[in-house]
This record gives sequence, structure tokens and C-alpha cells, in this order.
Amino acid sequence: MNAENKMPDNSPIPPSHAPEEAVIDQAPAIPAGRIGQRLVDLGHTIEHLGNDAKGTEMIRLTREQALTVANVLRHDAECTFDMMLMVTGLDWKTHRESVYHLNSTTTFTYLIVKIAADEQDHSPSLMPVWHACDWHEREAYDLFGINYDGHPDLRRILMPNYWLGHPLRKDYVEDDPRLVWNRR
Amino acid sequence: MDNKQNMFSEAWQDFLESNGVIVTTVDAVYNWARSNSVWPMTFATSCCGIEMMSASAPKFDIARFGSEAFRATPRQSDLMITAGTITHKMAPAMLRLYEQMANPKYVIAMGACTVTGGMYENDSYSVVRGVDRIIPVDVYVPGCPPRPEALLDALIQLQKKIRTETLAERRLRERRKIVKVRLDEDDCLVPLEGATEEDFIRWGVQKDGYDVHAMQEAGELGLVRGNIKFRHERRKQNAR
Repeated sequence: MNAENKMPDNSPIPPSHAPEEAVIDQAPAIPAGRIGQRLVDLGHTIEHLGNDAKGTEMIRLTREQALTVANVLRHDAECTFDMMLMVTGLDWKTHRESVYHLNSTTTFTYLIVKIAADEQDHSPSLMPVWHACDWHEREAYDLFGINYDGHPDLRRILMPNYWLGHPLRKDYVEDDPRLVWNRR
Repeated sequence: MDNKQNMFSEAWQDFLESNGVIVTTVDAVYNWARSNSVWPMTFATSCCGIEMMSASAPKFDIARFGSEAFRATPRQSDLMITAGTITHKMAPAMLRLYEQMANPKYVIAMGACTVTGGMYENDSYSVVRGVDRIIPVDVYVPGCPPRPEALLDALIQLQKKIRTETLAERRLRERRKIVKVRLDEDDCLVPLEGATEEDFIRWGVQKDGYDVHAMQEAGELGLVRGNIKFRHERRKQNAR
């Protein structure tokens, strides 16, 4: 290869694609989806989060209204979310969040409900509404340390009972002196 | 059964050896019988268990080597094939099963997870980094998972190992097989008092090859197979 075959390096520098700050500040409010609008019509003030990549509607509830709205979501004639698919835990470093994935077996629609835990990692249990939350919330408690208030049997489900800490947290460090025999 | 009546009891062998009697043909017959009927335990914790089942199925047919009798209880089994990942929650159960097996007992570490921890070795919080940190291992089978042929090969290697044992050496080897951890009141595996960190990486491939210290000790004492210094010296001592 000689120097003549090199591509000339005189192409213009591409413009920065970083959006201006004013655009972020003036982001339009996310419109309510079908389920969110139904909840608003019933008198519940909720936070709409739009749709995810697959078009599933997402809403966020406060801890105080969570049980009430969950009851509506299950028993209302237009919602009928009678199936709780799974609970996901999230660690945002500042706080923890539980994500409930709901399904309706009559209309075959999905809904994602997010509930942020408080500073002491307390969050209301939705087990009175969906009994399937039992083991899922135990798993989120085991791995993320989210304490679900109202859960009748909140104990570890995956890790052993003697385990210290919650392994999927961002700040988790495995330093149990009893397990020195398994150090790398 | 009365222990003194047992032909293979330690007291009886000590009596024989102190009177100048060597049991060689008995060794051969005894090992031939033992090595051709190694009964494994039905113990599979994850995907390696599928290959273990395949090895026992007609296509690979572990019955050709006399190990078709998978026992569902540790009391009746000679061999533990740790087929699958061992987590911290499973480790106490595995240790309990190992200690419930009757001597002589052997362990085949099957799969990368039980050899070194495998792909969970770096960052996992829940996986034991090799079963040789807990129990002594005789044969290692790498692979993820290993083919049934590899398991059959490991069984043949184990049979060779059994055939090289004499009754005296077998007692010595069993004394060397020491478990260095114990269960505390929380069902947590903790190190025994006096055990150092080196003890847990002593058995296997994770440090200086296979069982180096124990082999060195045995070599210094002249106790390895093919060296008759042991019995020869004992006989000379007794003659004096």
C-alpha cells in the first residue's frame, strides 16, 4: 500500500447531534393511553409514561394510591387485568422501583405499572389484588431488598436464609467472612 | 456384623501385616470386583445431568462398564457424579450426601461448573467455584456439558484408579480425603477451625496440579503404588 491509495482526509467534521437543552426542557407532556385515560376518567391522578418499544402502555403510581388503583385495574369492566405476569426490580442507585407486568385474559392487552419505593425501600404489596405477587415480590425482596408492606410471608426465596445483603443491587459487595473458602 | 470378623477391617489388616502376611491376590480380586460395579448416585443439579442420563441410556450404555445401577440413596452408592452447577444453597445438601455415602467413596466432578466454577467463576455471588473446595474429587471432566463419551472415559479412569489401590493404600487415601468445611447452625458452610485459605484450593486443578501436597507426603513416606518400601520396612521393624 502506498500513500496514493489512502483516502483523503478532507471530509468535513460531522455536526454534533446533541440536542439543545431548550428542546429537553420543553418536552411535550406524554398523552394518556387508553388505560391511563380510563383511570383519569375514574378520578385517579396518575403519571403517564407513554408506550414501550413494543407498544405496551406504561403508567406510574404513587405508593399511597397503588392498592386502590390496582383494585380498579383488576375489577373495572374496561381494564380487567386479571393476570399478574411478573414483578421486576430496578435499582436506580437513588431509589428502587418495582415494575408489574399485567395482562388481561379477556381483551389480551398488556399494561406495565411502575411503583417507586421510598428511601427506606418500602413499597406496598399488591398481593391482596393479585395472589401471584407472592413469590415474585419475595424474589424482588431477596435480590433488591425492596420491603413490601402488607406481604404476609416476606422472606428470601432464592438465596439461602443466612445470606447477607441483596445481590443484584448496584452497591452490593460480597464480603461475608463465613464464605472465605469460596474466594476467588 | 462384628467388625473383628471383617476381613478388610483395619485391625485385621494391621494384625496380618505385623505378622508378615501380605494380601496381594485378595487385592486383585477385591479391586476387580469393586471397579466393575461402581454404583453412581442419582445426583444431578443442572444440564450435565441430561448428559449423565444420556450416558446411562441405551445409546451410550454405561452398563457396559458396570455402572448402570443408579442409586437414589447415598447409602448404597460408591460414586457421586456432581453433574451440574453447585450453588451456595445446594452446597450443604451436597456435603451431607457425600458424608452419608459409605467408604470407599469416589467423586467425579462433571462439567466446567464443578471443576472451577466455569463461566460463573469471575463475578457470580451464588456459585461455588469448584466442588473441590468442599469435597475431594477423584476425576475431573471438563466440558460444558461434557459428552457422554467423556463421562464414560472418566469412569474408566476411575476404574483404573480403583484397581491400583491396595487395601493399605486405600485406607491411607481415605484418611487424606478430609472435608475442610462444616455446617454451622444457620446451615452455612464455614471453614473448619485451623483451616487456611490454601486448604480450599489444595485438592484440584486450581493450584499446582492434582493433589500435590498429599502426593508428596505419600512419596516421601514411600507409600505410593509400586514401592514396597512400606511393607518391607514394617517387616524389618517387626523382625527386630
